[in-house]
Amino acid sequence: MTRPADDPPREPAVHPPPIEVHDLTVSYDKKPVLWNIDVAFPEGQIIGVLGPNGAGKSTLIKAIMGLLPIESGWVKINGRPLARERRAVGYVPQRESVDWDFPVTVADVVLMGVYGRLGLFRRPGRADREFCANCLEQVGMATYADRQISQLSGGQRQRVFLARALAQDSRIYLMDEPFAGVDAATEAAIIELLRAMKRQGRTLLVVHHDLQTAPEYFDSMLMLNMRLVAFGPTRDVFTTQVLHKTYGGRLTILSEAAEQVAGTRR
Amino acid sequence: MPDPSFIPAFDFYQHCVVPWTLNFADTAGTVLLGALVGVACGWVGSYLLLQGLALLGDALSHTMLLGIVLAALLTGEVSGGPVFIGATAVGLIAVLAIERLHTGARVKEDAAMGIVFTSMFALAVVLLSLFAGRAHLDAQHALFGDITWALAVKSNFLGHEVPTDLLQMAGLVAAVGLLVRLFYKELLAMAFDREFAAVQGLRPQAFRYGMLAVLALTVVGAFNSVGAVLVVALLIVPAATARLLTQRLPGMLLLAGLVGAASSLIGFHLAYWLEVSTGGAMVTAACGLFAVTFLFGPSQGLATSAVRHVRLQSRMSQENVIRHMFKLKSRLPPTPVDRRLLRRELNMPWWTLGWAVWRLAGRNMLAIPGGTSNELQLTAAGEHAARRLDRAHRLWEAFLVDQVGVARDHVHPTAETIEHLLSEQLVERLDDLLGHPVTDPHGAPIPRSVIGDQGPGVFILSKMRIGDRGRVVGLIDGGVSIAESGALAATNEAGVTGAAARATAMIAALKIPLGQLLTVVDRNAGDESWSVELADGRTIDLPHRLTDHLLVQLLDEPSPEYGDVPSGPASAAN
Repeated sequence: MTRPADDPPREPAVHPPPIEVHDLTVSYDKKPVLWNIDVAFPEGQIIGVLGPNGAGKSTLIKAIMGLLPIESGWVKINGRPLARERRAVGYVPQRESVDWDFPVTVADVVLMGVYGRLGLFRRPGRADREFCANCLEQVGMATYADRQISQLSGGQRQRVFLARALAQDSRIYLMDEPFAGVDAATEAAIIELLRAMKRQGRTLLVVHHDLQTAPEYFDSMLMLNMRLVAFGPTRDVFTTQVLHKTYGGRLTILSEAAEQVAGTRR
Repeated sequence: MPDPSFIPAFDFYQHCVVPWTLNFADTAGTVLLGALVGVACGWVGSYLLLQGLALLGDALSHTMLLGIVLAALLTGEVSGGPVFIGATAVGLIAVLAIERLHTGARVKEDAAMGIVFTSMFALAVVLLSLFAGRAHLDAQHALFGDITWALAVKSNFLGHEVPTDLLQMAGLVAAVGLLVRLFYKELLAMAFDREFAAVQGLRPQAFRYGMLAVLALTVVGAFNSVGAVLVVALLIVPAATARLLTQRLPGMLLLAGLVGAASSLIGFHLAYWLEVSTGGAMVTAACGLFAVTFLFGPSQGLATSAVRHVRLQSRMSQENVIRHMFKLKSRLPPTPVDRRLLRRELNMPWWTLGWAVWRLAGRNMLAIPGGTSNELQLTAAGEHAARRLDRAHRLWEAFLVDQVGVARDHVHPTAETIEHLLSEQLVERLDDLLGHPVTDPHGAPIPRSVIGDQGPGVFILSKMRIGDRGRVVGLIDGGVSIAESGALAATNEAGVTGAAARATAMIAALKIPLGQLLTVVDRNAGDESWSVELADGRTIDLPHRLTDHLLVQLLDEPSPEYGDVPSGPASAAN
């Protein structure tokens, strides 16, 4: 296993960073929720997005993907506007964002991951189906391919979403709380999968809420509380000071414990 | 007008055959137009329903009345392009108004919908009554439609006079079908996960507005036939019915179309019989189909699951009766059992016991030798079934105690239920897992499997009990049995692999020929090996993995002397 913080910082000189956010301000119902975010994410890392509830974590990744109107600033993917780099970005939304009673099978959902690169009028073929079966296999759900999705448990649903993201076959992934409400076995399987994706050189931006596991999972961290509090390698960012600044007075007992963990690692 | 207190008697010939023979063209036209409306509404409604937009469909079809009325007042026509444009424009204005109301002001979405659609609908009704004379439109037709009237307006199609509405609806159904086929994946992605679709560049917002435009087309197309109010039912009810019947989107679309079309056919005959509005009858028929599906649907129907529950209860009480009689055999003389004893010991109400006994007697599992029905006796078939249940019950108890670690005195209640539900295969897998136990955790004997491994009475040696006598009939490896003539020593060739090959080699070394008679004298040290006495007087220890491969025909006849060789076809091999 790689010690995340040991990775040397990469020089963005050769090619543009996978995601560059410049002076981004986003409003929700006219109330700004993100102020002047400036950040360039390095390639080939698992990057955590952390912050208290209402800090704008989901808003940030939705804004990066163009799902929310931007008030000011811009986002570039691989140095180009998002509209020209759609295939480069994969997405794992929050599990509750869809109706799990929808009349489709697990295989149908995973197949949606290839829709983006088919273009209008083209239908998925046998090669696409085989590719998706392979993606399901990678998340350990191959035997569930023909199940109706309402029959799945929470952890299995999360795996299906990850398989669909794998089917997108992108270089950059944005994931909204993939670890929320899954059992320990699924959490271990998911982080293993994310590390495998990282080894293939992919960049993963992961919204996360559990401060205890965060320093173990992420190479870099973005601390967010309506503004960018800190961004950098986990060792530099995951400190008591930064956590205080990020979470203000709202630190819970759990996160205080995590602070102590962070304190021992310094 | 028919007398409302009078419901005409239904006559199949009069109400179902005559309309087709008397005036085929009109009947077929009406049913076809209704069916086309039903199919289009079923398809569009399916997509609305899946996105939780059933209410929006309701609201929009009401507001579109305003567009239709405005267009009709301006042009004097109640069909054609202007009406469609008016309906679509008003529909889109309504969507925008609803969104603005509930994002900007402090109005919840459902309230916003209610405000917008009722106000626009009311305005349409006011305009309708104000200018009723100007356009060929009155409130009655606008709200509930009139299929006969819709068929009266004709236009020229390839030299034939064809009702305009029929042409329009046929075109609409073809267009919707084509759109669904061409944009299946975009529509599915939009309906299931709009954000994910947007990320992939599938333009869900554009398809959403496209869908609303098709909804407007459908409402306008159905306007003359069923009106602006009843079309709501046709959008929602067939789709909801289809959703109850299937778990896949293509199946749902197919069934929604079928239910829509069937509603037209049933509704037409209903209307013909009761002399009522065809549109109303069509919606009534659709709701009837929904009710039938809701009650009797194959997997989710209320009545269906009630029937399933009653059947299960009945089966369980029957099985409890025969298993209890089977257990009584061990402590009572083999005479018929008194029904009152059963009732007392099973603590079963008399009607349940009466029903169970009646069913069991009918299935030839119980005999009532005295004819008074108070004396009951298990038949051979009944005992066979009871033995299986007893085996499932005791193996489950053994499993809970040995493998799950449940306390011995806690296992009985769960086993009481599970014995009725375990499949034969699962029971045999439990038996394998537990190493073929002979007694349950309470020390009571576990009955032998009634099916055997290779036909009745043929078991692997590890399933034999102490004192059992049998004849070696072959080797088995994962269901493949090798039973050639001659000694098993000769069978270490093709088809025998892995563990079976090793077992074959060991059996060869032990010189056990086919047809060998043996008697189990002991199961040693936690069932790790079996001691068997051979016909020639030798006693050998066979390890468990070997006994799992040796097939033995259990011999029923008692054998005071081990050395004798009974005559039989297999003995010729020795």
